[in-house]
Amino acid sequence: MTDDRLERSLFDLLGGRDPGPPPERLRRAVAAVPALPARRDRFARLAGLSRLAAAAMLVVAVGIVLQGRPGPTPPAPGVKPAGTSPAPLEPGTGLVTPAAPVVPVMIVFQVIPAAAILVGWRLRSRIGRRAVVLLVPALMVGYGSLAFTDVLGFRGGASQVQPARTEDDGDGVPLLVMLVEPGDLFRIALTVTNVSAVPVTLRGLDPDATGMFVGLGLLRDPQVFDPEAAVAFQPVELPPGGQVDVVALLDAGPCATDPGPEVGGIILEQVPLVSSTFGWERTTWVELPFRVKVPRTMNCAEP
Amino acid sequence: MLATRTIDRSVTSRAEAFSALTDCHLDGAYRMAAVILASQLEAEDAVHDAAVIAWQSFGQLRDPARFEAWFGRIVVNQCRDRLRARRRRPVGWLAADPPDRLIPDASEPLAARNALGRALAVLEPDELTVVALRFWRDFTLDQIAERVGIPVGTVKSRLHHALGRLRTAIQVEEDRP
Repeated sequence: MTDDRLERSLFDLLGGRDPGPPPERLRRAVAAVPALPARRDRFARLAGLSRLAAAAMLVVAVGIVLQGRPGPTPPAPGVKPAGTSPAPLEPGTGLVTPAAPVVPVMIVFQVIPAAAILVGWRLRSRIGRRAVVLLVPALMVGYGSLAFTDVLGFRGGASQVQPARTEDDGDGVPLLVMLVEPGDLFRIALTVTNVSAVPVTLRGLDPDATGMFVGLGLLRDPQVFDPEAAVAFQPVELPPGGQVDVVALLDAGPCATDPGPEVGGIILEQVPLVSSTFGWERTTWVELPFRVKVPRTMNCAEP
Repeated sequence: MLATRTIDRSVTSRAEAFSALTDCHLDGAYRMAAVILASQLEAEDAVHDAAVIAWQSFGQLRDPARFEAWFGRIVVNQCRDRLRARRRRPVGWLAADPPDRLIPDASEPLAARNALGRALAVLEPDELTVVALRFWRDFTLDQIAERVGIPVGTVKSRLHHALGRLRTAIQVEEDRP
């Protein structure tokens, strides 16, 4: 068939499909369209908001990745350069404040699934709609659960507190009463386990959490579980299920006193460790298998 | 006059403007949909769906003079979606739902016309849309590009491939003993 004949045949065939003017029922149906509820109109405005939310998510996500990217860790006070013998655990070592902007991230996680559904609603491709409406919120939930569930725990490791006297708190959990003088430093040795299914970087100890934690160290020799053998902390990569022995250094404070039946005190149940998951830094409160009581004198004004 | 009328933002005048514009361009939209879809009933559905979509995003149309192209594009997209949906239906659906009101063409042997009709049916929805706009409406490549929302180069290549496939399909029909 020649080109001319093909084109002429197409004109004829397609012209034969031309039905002429539209039927009256279509005119009436189209004329009634403006009376339909303007549902999509409202959605269109929401979709604009959803784009803004998506842009916000992108900015925050990029910010988190850039902020939390494992780079050269600045040496903590007391840490000697690599190649020399490790520095001992001293006040100020291993302290790090998590960098992640948690509140904006939580807001974004509230908004994004809804935004994704709204954007997906407007996609023409069925595969695209499914991908956005199902996959994106699923990813958000997955990433959110990574960010907001515990990644570190104690889970069957060793622990030791010096010097302390054990009492029964009445609910089965040992209460370790510290035998300290005002201004004393004491140590808690603890095995930390990565209880999540993803690799976690243990980055240090959050000093802002209670004010009592003044340093973090590592027990490098797995055969020696002695808090006094701790060296200055350096970030540690923990695979899923991986464990590391750390030593938290605490300041008893100026109001600490010898324990007596009439004195009050502070009871510690958790250690605030800073971890990083996929570049997302946050503080995880690792539950201790015991309670630590630091006795304090009554009516003591701290500086 | 109609095209230059300003779209008032109040709901009532918006509805009036929309009704006037759709009424003005309904004929062309419906006939285009019927040619692309080869079905009057589906064309009615496609145009109605397109009108609903157009009304819902009518506030985004800044220039009423662009309504015809804008609405036409929505109609074409609806037709394309319906053609794609047909592909996902079981084989035999097309045979069970033949084009409505086909006008017999006395100048063309029936067998050749049927062969061309079957060849059109194997075109991809995007190709069929371009072929219909080119050979029924006699649109230029630029007009097709605007109506379908693709670059002119893509229109050219789709048209080229579509005609090639039509020639091949017809040749196979003619060579069949």
